[in-house]
Amino acid sequence: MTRERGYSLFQIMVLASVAVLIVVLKVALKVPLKMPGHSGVFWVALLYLGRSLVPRRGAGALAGLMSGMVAAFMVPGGRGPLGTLLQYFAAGCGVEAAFLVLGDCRSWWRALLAGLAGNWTKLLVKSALDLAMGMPVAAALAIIAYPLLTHTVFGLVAGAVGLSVRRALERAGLFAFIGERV
Amino acid sequence: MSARPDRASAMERTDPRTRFVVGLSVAVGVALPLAPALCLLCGIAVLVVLSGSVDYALRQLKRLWVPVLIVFAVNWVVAGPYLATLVSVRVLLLSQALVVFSATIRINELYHTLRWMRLPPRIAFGTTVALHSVELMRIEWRRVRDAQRARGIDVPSGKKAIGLLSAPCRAIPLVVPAVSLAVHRAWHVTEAAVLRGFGAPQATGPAMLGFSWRDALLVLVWFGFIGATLRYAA
Repeated sequence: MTRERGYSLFQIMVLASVAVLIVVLKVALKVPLKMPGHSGVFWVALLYLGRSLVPRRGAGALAGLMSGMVAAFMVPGGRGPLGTLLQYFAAGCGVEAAFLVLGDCRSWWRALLAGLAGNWTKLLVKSALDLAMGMPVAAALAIIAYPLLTHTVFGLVAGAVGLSVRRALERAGLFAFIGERV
Repeated sequence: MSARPDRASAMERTDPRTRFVVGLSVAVGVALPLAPALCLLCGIAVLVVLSGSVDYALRQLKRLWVPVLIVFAVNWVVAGPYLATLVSVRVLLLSQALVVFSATIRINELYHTLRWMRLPPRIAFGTTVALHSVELMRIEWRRVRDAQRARGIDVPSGKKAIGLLSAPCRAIPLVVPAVSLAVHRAWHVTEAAVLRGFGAPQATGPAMLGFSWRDALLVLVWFGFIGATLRYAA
């Protein structure tokens, strides 16, 4: 493959594969916990992983956009395809922002913050949609209070899962495999 | 996503770009007062029937009834019954935005629609391939799960995975090989695409999209309806 300025086709395909995995694992690893934000444990972790596998500016947001499109078609959430697309894209942007601010999130605390940023931005978009629909601020705050707590916990767990998987993949030589082919 | 090429509904015979614009226009409902929003909801019901995606829309509503109930109850307590009803109807409207598009689009139409939206060809191609490979990835995931189970790794599934922290920890030995397989598959797809001329300077795809009289009729009727609804709201 020739080196180019934008994303190479292989990098796009890696992000697309991560997007598919997000959708597949969201269904396959459904944990029977009736708590808001728990599904983010795996898919925010995979967004973190996608950004780590393709270390380019904007890769996290792109992974979020692609997974949002796949999810909107295959497993639209309660807010419909548009809401699903916006939520996944926002989570990708959250992870991307964490990488831009904190650098390559290889340490535990940075990875935890990246997971937290991903899960929080998803919640932020949900709340923004609620406010856009004319919900009073008091009602929006009442609805967001409990999810904020659970999204925080699950966001931190997502960061930890993402870093654990990343370290295992580094040991397995996957990052070297990608580096040779970009 | 539509998987019925032989039984195309009235909506499926229209241009996907028209369906996208019509589906997205439903989102204006989040800014409407109650009566016009209810009118728009009725209009969407007609579109859903025309697109043959009643099951899809009903599944969507079934998933939504608990959140809508919570929204309704909290808003009733905070702001009274009118606002509670209004916000609930708007939540329903938002949930139906793009339903007509996502329920009727075919994968081969999607690439051209994404290109029409000015997405770069690689991203449009990647998204299309991603949608093609969901079922393949599900099969690979099952293989990974079965292989790890045969090695004695406790696989989180169903009620067993109730632990808050144990489930993610037990899932890591499954996610690692799944990601590795996915990346290797991404490389094979890349090689295949490049060998077939993807990205070549003069590559052209089949011109599939075409605006017909059906699209013109749908756009006229639908946006006429939305215009009348907005005028009624004013």
